[in-house]
Amino acid sequence: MTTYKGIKGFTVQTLTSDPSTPSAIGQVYYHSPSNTLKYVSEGGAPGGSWSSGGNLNTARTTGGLAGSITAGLYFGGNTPPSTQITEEYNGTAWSEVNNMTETARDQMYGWGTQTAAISAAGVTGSTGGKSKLAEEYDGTSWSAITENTTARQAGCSAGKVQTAGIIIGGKDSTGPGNSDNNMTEFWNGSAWSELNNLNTAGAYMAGGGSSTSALCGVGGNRPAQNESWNGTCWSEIAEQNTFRDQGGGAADSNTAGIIYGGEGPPVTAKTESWDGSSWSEVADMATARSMGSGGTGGQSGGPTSVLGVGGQIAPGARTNLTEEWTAPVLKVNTVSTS
Amino acid sequence: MAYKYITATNWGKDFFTHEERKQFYLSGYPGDVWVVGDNSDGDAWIEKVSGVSKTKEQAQAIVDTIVESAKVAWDLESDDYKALNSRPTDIILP
Repeated sequence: MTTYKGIKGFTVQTLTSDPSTPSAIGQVYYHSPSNTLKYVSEGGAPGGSWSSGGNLNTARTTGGLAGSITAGLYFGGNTPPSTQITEEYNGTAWSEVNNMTETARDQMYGWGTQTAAISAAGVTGSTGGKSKLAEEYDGTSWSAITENTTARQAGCSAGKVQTAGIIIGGKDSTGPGNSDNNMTEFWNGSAWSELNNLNTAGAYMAGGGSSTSALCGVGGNRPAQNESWNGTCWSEIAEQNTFRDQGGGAADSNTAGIIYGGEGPPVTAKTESWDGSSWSEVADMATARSMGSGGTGGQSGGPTSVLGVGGQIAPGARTNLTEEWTAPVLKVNTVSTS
Repeated sequence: MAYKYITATNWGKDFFTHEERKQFYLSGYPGDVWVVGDNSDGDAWIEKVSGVSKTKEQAQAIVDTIVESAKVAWDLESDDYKALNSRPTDIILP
């Protein structure tokens, strides 16, 4: 007969407190204070919620975002006009630090950490001029790096470390007016190179992840063409439940991410999580917004830890509000005999 | 679901917490208007943030005033602006 000891190598333990580390996932234990048998399963977005974070010092839309909910970096954006302002977040409050050095812009692509981030491309709001300027942040100041290939704005990006990130799609100037772009460009720390294109060009999309496993192009101006990236090529994935563009997004990989906010219209507070096969509605933001962080930049923290920063709230005002999404890594369940 | 209507200024961190978000409905609107689930946890939060009680009609009027102002401002904008930004729409409180 199969026994718990035979599977796990030890008998059911008696614990006085619930486990809190991921290594406990799969464990069955007797919880003595409550006289119940419990087990630990994976947590994730369904148990998540948004709480209020510190307010930005400068309300703005469409900045770039890097880092985490305890060490975040929000740069550029539109107040209006476009700005070079950079702020760092410590989990409680935002502090203004050194400005970006290149031309003020918004709707840029960004990724990395609070001490090692990249900002690329974007648009100068006052002129509408698209940019291919790129900069890197070292925790203290910004400095110019090699420009990316195609000037563009309002796509999405993915990257967990400064030396490996991708920028995807957006609006470029290659055709009449603003043309949707399908390009993927990879930054390796010293140079840009072109990778395989999106299947369908688009802009104002949400996403996140890494240069080898990402969600990008979720929503945007092409509602039926969400795509995931495996490091080599893009594949179409299922549609989200509520169409929106200019929303925020974050992903740990191409099988774990969330999207939040955006505009249908109307501006929405809805949040959805992606598990690799389908989208599920999870807890809403408290304040609906579009064009906040993530709408044009990538976050790597999702779906258990995400910053929703700034943006535009109905009926059109820039906001300085921050919300923090956290979801438990594990879930404690009580065994029931009923 | 029953709601209460208040105004309160979001001061930032811990204005509302994860725990509170799980205890009662909460949704923010223009004019620092908040719609709060009508239960004891919601009442405790209203007290925490020094919320000023409003009737639903009063709260809706605050929102309507801001939306109407935004519509007027949008109507005065350039065609380029209007091409990139949709006209503000009415917001109906739950």
